[in-house]
Amino acid sequence: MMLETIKTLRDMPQEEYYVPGHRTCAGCGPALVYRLVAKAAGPNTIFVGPTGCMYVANTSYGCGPWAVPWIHAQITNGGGVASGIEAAYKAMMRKGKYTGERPHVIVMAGDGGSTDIGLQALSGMIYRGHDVLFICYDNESYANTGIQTSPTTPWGAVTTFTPSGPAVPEGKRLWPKDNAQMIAHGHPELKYLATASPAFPVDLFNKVRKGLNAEGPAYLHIQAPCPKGWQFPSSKTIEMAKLALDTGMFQLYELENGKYKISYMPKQRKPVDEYLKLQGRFKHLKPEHIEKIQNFVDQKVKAIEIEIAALS
Amino acid sequence: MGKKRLITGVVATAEAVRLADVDVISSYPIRPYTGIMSELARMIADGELDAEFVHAEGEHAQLSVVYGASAAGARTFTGSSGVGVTYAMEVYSPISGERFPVQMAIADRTLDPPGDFGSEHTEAESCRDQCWIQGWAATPQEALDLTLLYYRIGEDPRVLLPQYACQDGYFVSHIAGEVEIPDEGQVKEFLPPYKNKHSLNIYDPMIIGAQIEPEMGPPLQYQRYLAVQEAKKVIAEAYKEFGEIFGRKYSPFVEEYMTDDAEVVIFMQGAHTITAKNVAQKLRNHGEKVGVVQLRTFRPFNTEVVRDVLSKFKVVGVVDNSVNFGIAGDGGVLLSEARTALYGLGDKTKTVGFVGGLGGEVITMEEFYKMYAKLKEIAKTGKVEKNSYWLPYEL
Amino acid sequence: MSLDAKKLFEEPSLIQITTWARGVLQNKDARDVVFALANAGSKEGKYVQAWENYVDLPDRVGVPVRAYARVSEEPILSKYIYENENPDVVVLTEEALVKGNDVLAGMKPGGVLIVNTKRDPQYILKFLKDTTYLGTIGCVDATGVAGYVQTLSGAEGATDASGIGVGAGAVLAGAVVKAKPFVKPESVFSSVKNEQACRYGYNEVHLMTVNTTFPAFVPAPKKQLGVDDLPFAGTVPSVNKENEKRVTGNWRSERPVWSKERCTSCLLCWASCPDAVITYKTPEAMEFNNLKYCKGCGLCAAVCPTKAITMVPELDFED
Repeated sequence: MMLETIKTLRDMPQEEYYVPGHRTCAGCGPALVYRLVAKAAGPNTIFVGPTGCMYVANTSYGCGPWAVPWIHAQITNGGGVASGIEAAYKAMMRKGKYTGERPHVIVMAGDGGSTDIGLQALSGMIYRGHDVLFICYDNESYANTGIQTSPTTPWGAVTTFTPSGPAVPEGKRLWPKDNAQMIAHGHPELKYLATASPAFPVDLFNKVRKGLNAEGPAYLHIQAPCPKGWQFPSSKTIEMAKLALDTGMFQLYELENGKYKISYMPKQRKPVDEYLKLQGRFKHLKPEHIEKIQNFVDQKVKAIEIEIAALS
Repeated sequence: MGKKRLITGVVATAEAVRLADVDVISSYPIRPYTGIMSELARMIADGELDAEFVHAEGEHAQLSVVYGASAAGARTFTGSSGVGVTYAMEVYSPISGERFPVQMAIADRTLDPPGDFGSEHTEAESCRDQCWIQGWAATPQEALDLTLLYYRIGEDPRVLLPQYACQDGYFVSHIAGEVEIPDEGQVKEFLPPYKNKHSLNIYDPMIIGAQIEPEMGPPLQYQRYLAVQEAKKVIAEAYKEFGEIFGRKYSPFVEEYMTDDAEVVIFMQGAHTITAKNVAQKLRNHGEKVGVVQLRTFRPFNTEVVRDVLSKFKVVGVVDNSVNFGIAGDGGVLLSEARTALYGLGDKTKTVGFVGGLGGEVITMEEFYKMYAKLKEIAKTGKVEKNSYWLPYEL
Repeated sequence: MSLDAKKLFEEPSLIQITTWARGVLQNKDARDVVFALANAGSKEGKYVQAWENYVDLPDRVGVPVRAYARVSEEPILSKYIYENENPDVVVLTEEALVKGNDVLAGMKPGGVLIVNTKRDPQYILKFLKDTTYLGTIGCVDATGVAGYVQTLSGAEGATDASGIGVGAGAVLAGAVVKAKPFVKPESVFSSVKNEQACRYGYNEVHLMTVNTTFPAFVPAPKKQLGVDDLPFAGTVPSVNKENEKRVTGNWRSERPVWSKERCTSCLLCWASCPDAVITYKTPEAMEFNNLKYCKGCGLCAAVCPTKAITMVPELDFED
């Protein structure tokens, strides 16, 4: 069954499948993303939840906030568990052991479960062509364990594993992985890929539906601001998401049938400092550090634009 | 009735998987179990079996795939050997804890280092606390039968636990022997369709595997404990019915061989029991009162049955085909468990350990002869001078 | 054996201090209170322990979390437990914690409650359900003096690089020892980084006696689940409209209030709420009808283009 895309918030269904009653932070970006994803996917959906914030914070005390089936996976194996569910339904439907509607299978994995310890399972799942939507809700750290650096933590960010001190003034000294680009290249079975942000809920909603409509594996990388890890007030989650896009720290695009499409391009890119200065994780940075980040972002934006120009 | 073929353990296992009409198979190559998967791949290519064959990117992924597939309601099969078995370690407890009765064939292989294709039970035995049903086939026929038995036992609503169906690599997996392959009607009668108490179904949505707090730990673990206790009953029932339907009768927990009036016995599991039995037979011809007790079900370990059997003898020599460095008694896990089973019965039955066949080396008939000689000596002197002997150096 | 096990393991000189706080925002200050008091006890040669509630961690922004100290004249017997079952002192690092949290649960007769608030004790008492065993309540404006210190340092048992007793926690530790002098004030003052703040708490806490006589106290037995109290493998049915096992309205220190006049029905608040607190039948009438779950993050107010939503202190509402 094809899911329709929408034009405005008013077209968004009222029904909730990720319902109130979870232990996620006040103002949690990933929880908001989850709610929008579940809305877009609808009732015929099975969620796979690898260990991470969206496992522990959602299910603590033997319960959970889902109106649809949900199963835990290890942080390592969201892609593998989802592959098994999809393969099971394929086999059971072919053999007449299941006669209902084919369920959507969605993995909701954090950046650790997508870009680090779970990367192998994700790549294997896409390589094999399983009809699964794998979503990385990227809050840019191992947040569930209390904020440790992950491959998507920005250069210069403070986490409990990359503190800033006299010997290491900048905090984190590594540049982040770009998982969407890693997945986009070298997975010929991939049918749809996009990046999304809760700053644009309609766009996010539609990308989830496109990913589910695609016959085969799809990957969404959704930036999900984290008030605890990034150290900003809970009320600023959307502002942070929007600033990430306006400064070029994160870009929105989709890749469909080998063609890239930019989803949002700021008219005038803001300096990264406007984004960094609002977050406690960057408050130790000196001007020369900020300049380094600005250069990195300039390069990254240029690279994406070149890539898109070449493939569009 | 079935037909006889000369086949290896890997083919026998694959035949059983075909007969069980498995829905999802996850593969990854590693010697010596690989042949099971190539055989299944061939069956699918030839239209003999209708199943999803998922080429996992490693053993950890293999187990992850069957976890998901079993949760969705499919009958599943996977397998591995050696370091592949330990690589997947993370996923074993979630599978048994969520009560998904997946089956994994283990064709044993020594753990690294260094690379060694030979069989040792170490890798499979190191999974013994993961709450899976576990036991060893000593012949290709037993490999086929164990596969069917374990689906039946593991999927029983009173059990709902995964199973390691083990066979010694090379000895059982690669040496062809005569196997009677049952027909589909018999298997249908023996093995009902798989149905779990919980599954991933959009018409009956459930939340499986939610995080708990410490106070929920005792009841949750105790549920699994009770399932293991229940499994002992179910194992006995299943073996009985298996004998009635297929005509092959096994003793479900321990199999006695030439133990009538025996003074000393060898207690062990796996392929080398066959050699032990042949040696016992020879010695019997010369009037020696020796026998073999083959452990058929390693997990759950049936303490009472093992105690009742072993306590009949003066001396029990326990052969461990694995390394358990630093273990109490310096033998292996079977020695420790046999002694636990005999606890409280005084000094009537003496026990001594032998560690042999390491790295896949053959346990020769001469070595078994030496073991029996040592047991006879202990029976005579009444003295156990050493807890255990590492073969070939200490005996 | 025929010993009375309950009597055998009594610890009459054991003082239990429990601090409640808002996760992430104030957990450091909660930790500071208990570590300052435990260090003070240690200086005086007493037996001490201090820790954060393990089950409350990892903490989430706003979630009620607890930290504990134990100070005893005798060696502590019950060392490895999760919670202070019977606190002598309860500290709240934020006033709205009195709502929806059973902060006085298990309190010993004559126990002390210290609250970080500008309000007076009389008003706070309104929100406490059962004050049978409460002896003294004390209010002090700790944040007005020192403010909360938000840091990730010190989490999961590691060293807190910012030091002990920098902000509001120092004030509250001072207030505790004024209300219940189980250690000398000087021992506490010298156990915090911000001594001035600590002295302020000691000197300025507004104490009020609540009860002087108490009925006999019988500690509740430890809760134990039976094997059938948990469903098969812990699996539960998916929920329908809400997950009632995890009500989160008690996380809130501020409540969103919607004004129909200013609302332009853009639905941004509705689309921005992680907790699906807001619903609507028509876009012209937004309904904040899931306040039972509202954590008070303020996202709805922040995204509102016309300021139709304002955040109001939770304790201004008596419901």
